Amino acid sequence: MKTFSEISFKDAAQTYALANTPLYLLRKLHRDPLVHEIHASFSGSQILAELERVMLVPPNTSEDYVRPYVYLVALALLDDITPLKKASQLPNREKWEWFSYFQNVLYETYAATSTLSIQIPARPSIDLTRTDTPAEWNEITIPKAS
Amino acid sequence: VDLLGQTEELALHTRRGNQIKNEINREGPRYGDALVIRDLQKKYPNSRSRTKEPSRKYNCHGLCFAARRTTIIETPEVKRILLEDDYIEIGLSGVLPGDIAVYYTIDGDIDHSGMVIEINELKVPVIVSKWGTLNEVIHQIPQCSYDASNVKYYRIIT
Repeated sequence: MKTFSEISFKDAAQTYALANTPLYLLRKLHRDPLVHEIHASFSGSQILAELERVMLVPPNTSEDYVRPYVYLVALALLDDITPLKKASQLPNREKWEWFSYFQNVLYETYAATSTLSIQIPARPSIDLTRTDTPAEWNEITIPKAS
Repeated sequence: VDLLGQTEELALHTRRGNQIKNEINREGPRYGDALVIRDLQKKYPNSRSRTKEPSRKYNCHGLCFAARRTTIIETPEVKRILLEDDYIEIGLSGVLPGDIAVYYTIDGDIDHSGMVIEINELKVPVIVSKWGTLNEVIHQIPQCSYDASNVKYYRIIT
């Protein structure tokens, strides 16, 4: 995926049309490979900028209607919550009936998925005389008392 | 959310007199809805459309619990209806036309509902349900896009 214009939202639009509740759409989009591809291909600021751009144009097709929801879920996968938070201030939100609900649920349930690397300093000394490794156990023979 | 003045809440109460959150959206069909209906007809060839046109006025829960007047989108509201309208759960072997099928997710959310209209020769309930903002469809319980692995059936106590 190189540009946003190359993305097909056809399947997402079908999911949206079938959604009886916003949570259904949210769950389905969370599992949609498209969302994960967008998350992997673009930065948070790029996704947010594209979200803002599409929301400046009145929605016309079913794909226009689902696109902001796809981007919101992609933003919720980021390590940084800031772009998702900023999405709550975008103009024309009222044209997407579940936008505020979506943004609120994603914000409230946000869980950072970043990997934290912890460096543990090397031990200053190693006890070479005893380990708990079975392979290094030594058989100890106790001589019988005479 | 008042979608550009096209949505409003109707007075809708449970038997116990409590208002049920709902919204009717009077917006007409959107471009692309008809194509989705056509795609789904191909995907589920054994299903039958009861209505041809998409509608945003009501959803599946609105069909089952509000006589097709409005949309109910929150799971807690559906659960409140089941409780406050005196529904009881029915085992699969006892299901009759007129009972309500409720599609639960693994975490207890409700994705879909439909009204049982017959039990076919394979003992599988057939329902009429509304597919999102699309049309009404007559289908066997598993023949739809909603997860049918945890469907429960309910009957209202008269």
